[in-house]
Amino acid sequence: MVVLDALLALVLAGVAVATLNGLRRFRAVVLFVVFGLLLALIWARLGAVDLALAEAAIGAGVTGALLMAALDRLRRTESSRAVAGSAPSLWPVVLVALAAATVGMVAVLSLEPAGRPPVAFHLGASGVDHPVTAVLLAFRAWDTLLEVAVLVAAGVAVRAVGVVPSPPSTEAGPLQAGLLRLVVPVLVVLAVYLLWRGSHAPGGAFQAGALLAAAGVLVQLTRVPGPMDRPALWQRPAETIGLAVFTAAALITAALDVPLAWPEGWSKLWILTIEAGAAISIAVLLMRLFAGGAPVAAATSDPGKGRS
Amino acid sequence: MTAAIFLFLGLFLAVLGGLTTFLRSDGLHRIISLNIAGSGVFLALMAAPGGEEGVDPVAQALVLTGIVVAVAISGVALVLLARLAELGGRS
Amino acid sequence: MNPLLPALVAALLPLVGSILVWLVPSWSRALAVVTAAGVLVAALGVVNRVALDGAAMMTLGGWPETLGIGIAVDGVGALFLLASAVVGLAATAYGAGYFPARHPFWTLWLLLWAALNAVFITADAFNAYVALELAGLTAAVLVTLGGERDAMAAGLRYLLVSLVGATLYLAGVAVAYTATGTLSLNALMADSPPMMAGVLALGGLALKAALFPLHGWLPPAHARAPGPVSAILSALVVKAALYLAWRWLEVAPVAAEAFILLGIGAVIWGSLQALRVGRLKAIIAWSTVAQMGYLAVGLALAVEGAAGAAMGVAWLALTHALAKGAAFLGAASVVRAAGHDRWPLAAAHLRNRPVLVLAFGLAAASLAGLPPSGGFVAKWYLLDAAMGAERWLLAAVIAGGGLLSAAYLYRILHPALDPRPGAEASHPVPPVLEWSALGLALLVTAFGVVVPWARDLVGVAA
Repeated sequence: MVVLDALLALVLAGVAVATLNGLRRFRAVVLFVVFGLLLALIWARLGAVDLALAEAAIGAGVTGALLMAALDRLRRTESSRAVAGSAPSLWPVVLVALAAATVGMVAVLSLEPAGRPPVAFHLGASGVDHPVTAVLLAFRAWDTLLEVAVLVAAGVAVRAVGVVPSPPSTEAGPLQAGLLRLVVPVLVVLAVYLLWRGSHAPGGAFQAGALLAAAGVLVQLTRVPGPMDRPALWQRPAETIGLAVFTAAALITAALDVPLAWPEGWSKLWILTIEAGAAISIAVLLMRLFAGGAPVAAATSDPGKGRS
Repeated sequence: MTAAIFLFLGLFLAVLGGLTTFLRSDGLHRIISLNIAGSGVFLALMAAPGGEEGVDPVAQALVLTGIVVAVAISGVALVLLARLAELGGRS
Repeated sequence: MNPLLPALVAALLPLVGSILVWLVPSWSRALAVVTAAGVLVAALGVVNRVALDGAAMMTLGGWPETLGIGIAVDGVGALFLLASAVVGLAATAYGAGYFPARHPFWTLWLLLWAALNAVFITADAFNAYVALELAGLTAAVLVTLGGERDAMAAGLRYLLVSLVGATLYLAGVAVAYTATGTLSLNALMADSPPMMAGVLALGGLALKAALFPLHGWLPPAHARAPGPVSAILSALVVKAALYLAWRWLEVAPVAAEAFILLGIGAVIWGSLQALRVGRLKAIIAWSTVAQMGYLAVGLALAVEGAAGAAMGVAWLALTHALAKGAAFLGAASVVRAAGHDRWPLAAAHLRNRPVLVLAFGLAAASLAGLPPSGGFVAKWYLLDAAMGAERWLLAAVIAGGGLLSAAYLYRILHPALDPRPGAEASHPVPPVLEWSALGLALLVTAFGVVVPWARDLVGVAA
């Protein structure tokens, strides 16, 4: 197995160097998606299944989609230059990185082992059976709350910067429509399953939200206008419900006794509710990031500055 | 042994990505290199020794949070980049 | 009642506000002002609590300290929270007169505020990372809200710098956690992680605090941001990074000497640039670079145990926040009146605007360290600490730097006090804009008088 791991590491390193080398943006983006998928494999090899799911869905999938969308917009505005910026030779950097990694590895391996947070000991009291979910939603819930706030901020930010780029003039063909009918329901079911599964096995709100976002991006790509293109009443509540539920839970528990301490016996319910709200918001916010701007009412033909 | 390989890989990626960010001038390439550097840090954290049995769930939670935050910020940076190009500026 | 409840409320209330403002945009301004009032009450509650009962700490969720996220308040944190609340209220009031209700400023600003307060109450190294990322994201986007290309470029650069800094900081946290198994800042102080952890974390924080020579991103961002945003950025956002740098210097004191060196560089370079540039907001932005130098020097002195240095730094942070807030709010008003900030051309618009002139005057006095302002008291404490520790070079820098500040502040004040009539017509400036600037300036002057109360407060260490 060590040989497999060494091979995997070598390939990933090679892909990383290839991604960072060279001038063409499209090539870098595609290689970066490959990088993300290989990294997901490595997470799986390390036994971190939650991370493997998240890396594949979010790190490679969503980030790849965002990069592609940006690439498309950049191409439309700039003159046909495949070359972007300057790219000095990467070999000195590779050598320096190898040297630094060697030094670092020796230093880290020579550290004395230290204890780790007692997760297993308190797992029973957390309300869920899966350690990672317990850390995210019970022990370190305040971090997760702020993380959801980061996503909300990103969604608001993207709306503030400008409007959605004008969608293509024709709707996608029957092949894409057929694909949609097949794939979207599967993704939704998978997402709900992952959300519920997170309480006892790898899964949870972020992975579920990313799957829903993937479904949403597919719809956004094939429908004209897409769900993100026109203002609609459901958008703002959907964007904020995750943060709202989480903050409400924080305030209620603070008023009752200890902030972010879920009531005994009801922990699992509270956690699942928070996760459900978060998953919805994560999906909608990631879709907004992909759409890349604020929705525009149909009558307007002037792509002016961003409006809410 | 597995862990040591990936620890080395993580450190390598972190430094590689970090240095490349300074050397490149194109916004899109910088966002990619920063993401690779971040992934390197996550990998090093997860591969470092320390957990008694099994994988450290706290480290996993930290990396998961880091991944989501990185996506959010990268997403905004990309939109800013695109908007800037549309306005006629250089990144 | 839980002693840390007001502290947590200070962070949660802006989150609630941001959600409500996003859902009902037409009520933005009223909701924001109500939120600001609430935050001020909460901050005063924290100050009161710390003054009466001393420092406090708790772990959220009721979990043990080794497992959960800790929040803590002590004298220093209480003062930073107070600065955040007061400047935040002024900026909110200013924003109500500056931005329309249906504007993304409100949601972004309230989210930023929540992040800042979350930093000031945190006792957990990773929690600080998440809060810093939220602050960096929202702040960078706030810079771009004017929509002009220059602002957009400055905002993007700021965002990328923020991400680099955060990644460096995260690397430091990762090293510390790997070595010690804990994320609690208190535990890290006791367990002493390897030096690399401190170097990486402090490197990231120095970048975010715009410490020389990592300051390049700040002047464009702060100068090109819309009016109240510049005030928020210079007064508060860089302070969050500074506050964390303080905590981390206590974890890794070896870096203190580096901070002194870089701080001296910042004072000199920032002041020189402030003498050179030709736009009002740029002068004020470079002043921030210089003042962060003082704070860095003071931090190092405090960590090395110089008597009275902690008081000096905390006080300087607070008074700088108030004075810089007043200066930028004033500058924003000048831009509103003149349509530009080319200096001393725009000074003509200060004719018949005594409120603004007074605001600039008092703010400048505090920034230069003239009595009886709060800034004077702060510099005095720092000078005293430096001499007490027999660091004569530092004392000279602090004193000499004061002369340099006076020089570039004179560039601002002289045309302001004796404005030549200009050829340009002046746009009206809503009173709330002028008065929020003056409010902060009056406060910082008043704070020159109420010092003993603050001294007792700062003495309450965590």
